[in-house]
Amino acid sequence: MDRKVAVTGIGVVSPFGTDLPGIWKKWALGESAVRSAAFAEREVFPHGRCARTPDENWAALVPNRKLVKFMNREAHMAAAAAALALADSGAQEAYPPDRKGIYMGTGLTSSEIEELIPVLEASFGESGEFSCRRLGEEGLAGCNPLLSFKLLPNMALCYISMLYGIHGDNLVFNPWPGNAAQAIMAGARAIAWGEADCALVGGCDCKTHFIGFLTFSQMGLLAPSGGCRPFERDRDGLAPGEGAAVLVLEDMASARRRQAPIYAEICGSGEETDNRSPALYPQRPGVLRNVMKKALADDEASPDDVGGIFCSASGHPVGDLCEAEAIASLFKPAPPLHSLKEFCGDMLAAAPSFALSTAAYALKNRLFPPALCPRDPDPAIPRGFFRGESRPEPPDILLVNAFDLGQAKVSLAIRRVT
Amino acid sequence: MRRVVVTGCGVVSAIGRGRESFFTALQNGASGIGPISHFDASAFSVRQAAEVKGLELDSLIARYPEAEDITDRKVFLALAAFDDLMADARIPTGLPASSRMGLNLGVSLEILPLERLSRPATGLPISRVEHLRRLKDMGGVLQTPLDTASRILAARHDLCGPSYVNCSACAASAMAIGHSFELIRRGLADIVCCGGYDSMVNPLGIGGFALLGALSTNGENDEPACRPFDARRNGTVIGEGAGLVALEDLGHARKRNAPILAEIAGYGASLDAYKPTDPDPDGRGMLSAMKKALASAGIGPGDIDYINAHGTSTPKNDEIETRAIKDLFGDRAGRIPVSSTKSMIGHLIGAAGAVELIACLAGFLRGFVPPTINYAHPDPFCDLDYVPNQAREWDGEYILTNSFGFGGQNAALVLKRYREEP
Repeated sequence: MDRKVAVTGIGVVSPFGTDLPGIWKKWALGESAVRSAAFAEREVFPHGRCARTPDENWAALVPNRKLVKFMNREAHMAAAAAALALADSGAQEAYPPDRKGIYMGTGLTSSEIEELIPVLEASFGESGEFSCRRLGEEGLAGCNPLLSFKLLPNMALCYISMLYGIHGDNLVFNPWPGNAAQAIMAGARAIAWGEADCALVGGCDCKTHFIGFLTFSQMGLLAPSGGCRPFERDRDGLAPGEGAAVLVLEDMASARRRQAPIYAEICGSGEETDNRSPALYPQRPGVLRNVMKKALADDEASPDDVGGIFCSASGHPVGDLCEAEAIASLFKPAPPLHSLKEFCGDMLAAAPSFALSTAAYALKNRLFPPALCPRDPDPAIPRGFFRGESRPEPPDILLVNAFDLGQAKVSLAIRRVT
Repeated sequence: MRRVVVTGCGVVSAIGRGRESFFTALQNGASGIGPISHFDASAFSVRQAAEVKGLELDSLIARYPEAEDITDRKVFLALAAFDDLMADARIPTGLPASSRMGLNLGVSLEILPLERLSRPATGLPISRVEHLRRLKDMGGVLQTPLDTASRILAARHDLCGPSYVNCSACAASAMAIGHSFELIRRGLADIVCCGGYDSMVNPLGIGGFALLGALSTNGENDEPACRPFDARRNGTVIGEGAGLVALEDLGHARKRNAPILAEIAGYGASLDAYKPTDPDPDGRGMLSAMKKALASAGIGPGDIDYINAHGTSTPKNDEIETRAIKDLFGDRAGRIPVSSTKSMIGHLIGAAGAVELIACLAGFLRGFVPPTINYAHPDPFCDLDYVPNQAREWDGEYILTNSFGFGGQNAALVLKRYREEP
């Protein structure tokens, strides 16, 4: 029989900072970390807005300065989040290195592309065309030899293993939030199946730089207006965020034996491949509905048991409506909906683990997560869909959806532990 | 737990495409390494690679018009291998949907098309901001996300089972296969097309690895470039290609009378947790992955009859891998044939583990183990039987294949000769 999976530690590096009580407070007050983009070329995106993570909050959490030189920004944030999560759980000394595993999701390679621009500029021939010969003769000479370490999407996981002496099972998936949520599922399964006794699961991403804006603009996903407004009538795309979130998972019985702090139980997960939607955003509500149903079925829970849903909606005109339709078709009525994306931007591959972290924190502390209440909701969404009021009791089961980009659609169910 | 079998494969490599021609080239000790032709590498310090020749892009685009605008060559390698896999595993139209067939592909990283990045800069001088503004306005999408091949294949072939993109560097495709094995063994999937594809034979790929000092600069002199375990080895050679296998629950395979090529018996993964630049000099991560794979297969070191080594031809890897093999197999290590097919096909990075697993199938299906070619100078620190230069007849039961990734991710898989009864 599969073992129960406990969340025993949380570490987040987010635009709202690193301490969960502080993050919660900002969220409850409706503060926003979304600001005008700060990169040097911001005039290319005159309305560009994003949510940056204040460096001073997390950079020093990774004491190995030599290793930090190899890291890109998202890997650095992941390493900091892992440090926080391990310290929070106290699990580091509880298990041997071979019985600890890491399961991470990472995003599109991009943050270091800016480093390539000078290499390119040194590689133009006399006519102004790019020249491989010039690249070989001049361009590569000016290239950071450590660039490969910053481009490889598996390195965040590897740095965590090096910093914290983790030698066990591991998986790293790329490039979208759904893939990052699959990594959380994989870590939970490793605990449930006994392949690991302690699993670090999570994701990291950073698209608050020029290339992030460029890529999402070219994909037609970036909000031209600069704001992320899930389910609002005038929503027009996502606002990039950045960050990392890492959770420590353990076998529930072991966690109880060692009197670990237990935030919640990961009690279910569902995944589907939406192979028939040609675009990156969700287009088939039936698929999303099935995913949520599967997550609940794992725990033999019914839709009525769900006390809230951390939505995936990132402000996409079609994708948000698709998720709303899926929720409306499964839940009658819909439970309170939650999202931090309006305030912290879309943290992309870090978004599912960040949402899961805040959900687990809410369950442990018997909190009502702030409910999504669009000011001017999409008129295609039925009236009464958004329940601004809280239920009489804090939630016992929460769902975390990762639907917004790519084919992998995932929903995670977590339950309060009494 | 359920038994997991290999029911087909698709392979695209520098020495051949398709199972039979690939096996024949392996048996002949063919080399796919030669001068780089994909771009002008004349001013690069490294000018040799193992390129796939004759990939008919036009016919692939005719078959997959949705890939027309894709600039990333490796996506086409995946599409070609997948078509071959569907035929080899005799997967009929309709089976993927009815069996909820999954997809689990390993690949290393996105490589930016430098020409595309620079195209707007034609007519310099322009300001950096103007350059970037033109990039924004030129249309298309600069990046090719690592799920591109998966998205195309899942849509085209109605693959609606779980789909994963594993990006564990050089261990990616071995890990994708191991992960798929676990999913099938535990009943979460009945059939998964898994493996990997990659091409780093491009200016940034070759240039980046060369800057790290990981590549051999031989090849144009009298010294072969890729010579795993040889005392004069001085680096690896980048290759390109794709290797995909259909892993299937034995019951599912029998029910549809699928060809059964071999059984996957075990999988182990580990982390070196050492340094970004080097493998753990004590080989603990490698050893741990191999031990776990044997334990997962329910066998001991005495059962392995051939080892397909990671064998990159870098000074450190080959010595440390040799030591790890000796630590695990003790006195028997010297009597087990160990070879590196990278000597023939180069290092396929994200596709390496899968193509090498397919090479192992030759042992069961053709009765030989592939050689390590270019082997001439014994290294006192690499003192195993590396099957030098000539393929060898073989009729063993179990094979171990190793993949050790950049950053310290390690994977090992155990293959077993398929027999009707356990």
